[in-house]
Amino acid sequence: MNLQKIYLNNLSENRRGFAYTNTRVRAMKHELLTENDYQKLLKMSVNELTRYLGETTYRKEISELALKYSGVVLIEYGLNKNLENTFKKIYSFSMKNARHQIGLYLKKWEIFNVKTILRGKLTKTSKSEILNNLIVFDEHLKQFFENIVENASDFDEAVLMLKNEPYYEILRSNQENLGVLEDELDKYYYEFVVQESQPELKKYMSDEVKILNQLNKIRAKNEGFEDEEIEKYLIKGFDNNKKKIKSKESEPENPLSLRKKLLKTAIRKVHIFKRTFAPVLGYFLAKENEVRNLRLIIRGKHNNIDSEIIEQHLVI
Amino acid sequence: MVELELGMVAFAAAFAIGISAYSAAKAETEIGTAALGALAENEKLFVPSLILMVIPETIVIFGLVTSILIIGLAG
Repeated sequence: MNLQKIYLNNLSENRRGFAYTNTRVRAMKHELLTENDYQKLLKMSVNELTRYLGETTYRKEISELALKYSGVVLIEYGLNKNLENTFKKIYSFSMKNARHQIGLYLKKWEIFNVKTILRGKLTKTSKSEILNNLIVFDEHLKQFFENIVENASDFDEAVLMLKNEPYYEILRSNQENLGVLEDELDKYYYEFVVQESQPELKKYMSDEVKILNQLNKIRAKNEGFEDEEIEKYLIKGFDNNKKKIKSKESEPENPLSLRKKLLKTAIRKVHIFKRTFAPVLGYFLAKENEVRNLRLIIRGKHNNIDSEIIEQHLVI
Repeated sequence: MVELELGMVAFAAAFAIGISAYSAAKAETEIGTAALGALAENEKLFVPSLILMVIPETIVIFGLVTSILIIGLAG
């Protein structure tokens, strides 16, 4: 009887805060670009793209940055800023358990920022360039990262400034090899999130990890690594016996098509009417995918790549 | 004995309106918070939100009619 009571209490507690957050996020979904928009964008030049995006939800960020930057760089930084503002907005209006789950998901961007800072410091990138590539949803965290970018003179100093973070040990022990360090940070993130996440997030993470592992295997085999060595770089801790995500049987196992399938399935979750994290997760993925698509189009156009090739890599 | 029967009728009527009012309140909690979320993003959704908010109220009317019928039939 007591167990039943605890279970029911947990159930109701876990579902609190989702009705408001999910509906608001669902309303925001209508502002995302549609398939028709992408078809128009593929036919435009970089300048036309800037003007077109300046009339969409990216207007505020693009006009703010237009005083300092122009062309591809302006759009790139505008996209980053817009993604950051979207995360900030959703995190600020989310409530109770929904907020907790959103925080867990956004931890991914905290790890992304650490990687960006370390990569930037290693390659002696300018401070403003590193800062414009950061995507931070939390003001305190933003100040913390800005402080590292401003005051750390090199890679080692940046690592030292992260000494109070739970992943410091990973940074310290893999300082020699940035590739391994980034892999270890990803592993840390997935292991961290899986402990507290709701089944929807856990399921998505597990699917994402499977695809990442597949990608790593293909890359490592192309580089001539032995199977035993490849095993070291795979992310473990997720049940791999469950049904695998497969593309259509006639298609060969292609990482791009697998990734497209994973994203499309996850994005459709925005329309699930349940008090779970699924709609917010779907929206986050749809927004990140939109930014990725726009970046692909802009970079492709800038480097005179054929529209058909760009289109093949878009997830629409 | 008559008092017990009267009590049972009163209890049945109260139960009918009580349960329906509670259910409507639960439904309106969810619809209200969701409607606020939608309105925060798009003000044009005010009328559809208001209509959706009112729909659960019909449950209370059913409850009220049922309790009146119980009292009426009991005489």
